[in-house]
Formats: sequence, C-alpha cells, structure tokens
Amino acid sequence: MAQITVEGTDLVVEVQGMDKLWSLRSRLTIPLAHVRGATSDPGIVGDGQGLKLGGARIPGVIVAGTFRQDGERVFWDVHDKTKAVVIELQDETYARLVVQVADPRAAVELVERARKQS
Amino acid sequence: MARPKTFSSEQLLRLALVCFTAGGYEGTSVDDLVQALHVHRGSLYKEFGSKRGLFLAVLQEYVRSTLPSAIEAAVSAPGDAFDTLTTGSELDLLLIAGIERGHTDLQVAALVEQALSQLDDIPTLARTRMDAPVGVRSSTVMLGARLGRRLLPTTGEHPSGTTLEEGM
Repeated sequence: MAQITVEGTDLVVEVQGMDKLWSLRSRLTIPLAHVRGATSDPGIVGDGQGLKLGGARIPGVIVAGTFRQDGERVFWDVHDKTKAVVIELQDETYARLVVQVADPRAAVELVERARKQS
Repeated sequence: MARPKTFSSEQLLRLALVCFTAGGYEGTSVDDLVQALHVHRGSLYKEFGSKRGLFLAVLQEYVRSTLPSAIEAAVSAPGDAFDTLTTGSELDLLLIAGIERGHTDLQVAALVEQALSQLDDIPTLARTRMDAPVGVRSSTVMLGARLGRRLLPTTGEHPSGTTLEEGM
C-alpha cells in the first residue's frame, strides 16, 4: 500500500509499513513534468509482472518491488488488485508505477489535477 | 514488446470511440480497451499515458473529424439533418463527454464546447444546400433528443426489454 501526495512540483509516492521491506523502497519522488497520467486499473495485476529484479512476489498475496517486463522497469506495490493505480512516467528509471492506494478514484484525480497545474 | 502493428492510430481511436460510446467513460475499463484494441496494456499506457489521455485523444479526433463528417453526411442526405443525427449514435460520445467528464475536466469541456458550436452551425450549413430542410434547433435541443432516443431507441421500449414504467 502506498500514499500519493503532491509536494510543490513533485509527486511523492510513500510506501507504507512493511511494504518498505518487501519493495526495497520507502519513497519515490517524481517531478510532475515526468508524470504522464494516472489510471485505476485492477486488471493489470492479472497480466503478470515479468522478471523480478528485487522485491517480493507471492501470487494472490503481494507484488512489491522492481520488475522488468517487455523491456520496461516497473515499480509495484500491490496486495489488493481492486485498488491498483497505474502512474505512467517518462524520462525516469521506472516506465510506470503500479501501486495500491486507499482510494483509487481520489488518487487518479489528485495526479491528473496536479499535472495540469504544474 | 511493441504492440502488434495491426491497427493504425486512427483505427485505434475509432475502436476506442466504439468502446467509450457503448460503455461510457467510467464504465469502460482498461481491460475492455486492451481487449477491443488488441494492444498490450504497456503499449496503451506508453502511447496515451492514461485512460483519460486516450479518451482525450478520442474526443479530439471526434471533434476534428468524426462529428464534422457526420454533420456533413446528415446535411447532404435527404431528410431532416436533425432526425438523421439524433437517430444514429454519432452524438453519443459528445453526450458521454459532457455528462461524465465535462464538469471536472477543462480540456474535455473545451472540446465539448467546440462540438456544440459545430451542431449550432448546422442551420447555416444547411442553408448552403439547395434542398436541405432548414430547421433552427440548438445543439442542446439536439443532445436532449439524442439522449431520449438512446434511452428509448424505438417505440418507447427500453433496451433491457422492459418499458420505462415497468423498470421504475
């Protein structure tokens, strides 16, 4: 589970609780100019994650950490796929972030609004 | 992996338009889009950034090309352009954009406004055609009529098979 906030011109994704251990990351800071959009997408977990580069994956329980799929590096932190949000990036180490948030609709709106204002 | 080059960007947008027209914005999931467009999910995100990004691209293409073509065809065809446009499904994306996204998304609102002004220009356009019947009806009346026909396609019967009264 992650918390998404906007700090100035950055999008901050804070990994919560024990997920910091599984994902090997605690905080990601992305300039809003590098954020292309956010989408609530429960179906993405079912597509698989590709190769695990670092982190944990127990099917149906947790996907957390850095994975490489189709030549792209993707950061995951999802337990409950119904709350998965995809944040598409450019010019970053990660092509996209797939994170579970408490309120996907609010998170998508926050990201889209912040992008427009940045 | 790049997406299979089965469809051009224009075809992708046309297929996405069909999805959004049938399911609405919220009702169309990324799963629905991936399946209908035959693209990898990653490619979809790479190309459009988000579902909103895809919807905006669809709406831009609609305002640039789809709607003007539909208006042109309706005005050129025999019969009342108003009837032709409100009987077909060409105005449905405009309805969906206006109802679901127009009040929160400024870019969508601007595109909806452009589409409405195209509809408002129909009487002027019709006057340039010799035998086209000229009826002055505003875009909002036209959308209202289309909404009614979308809900009750033919003789007052609801698509679910029940009449509206039974369903209440």
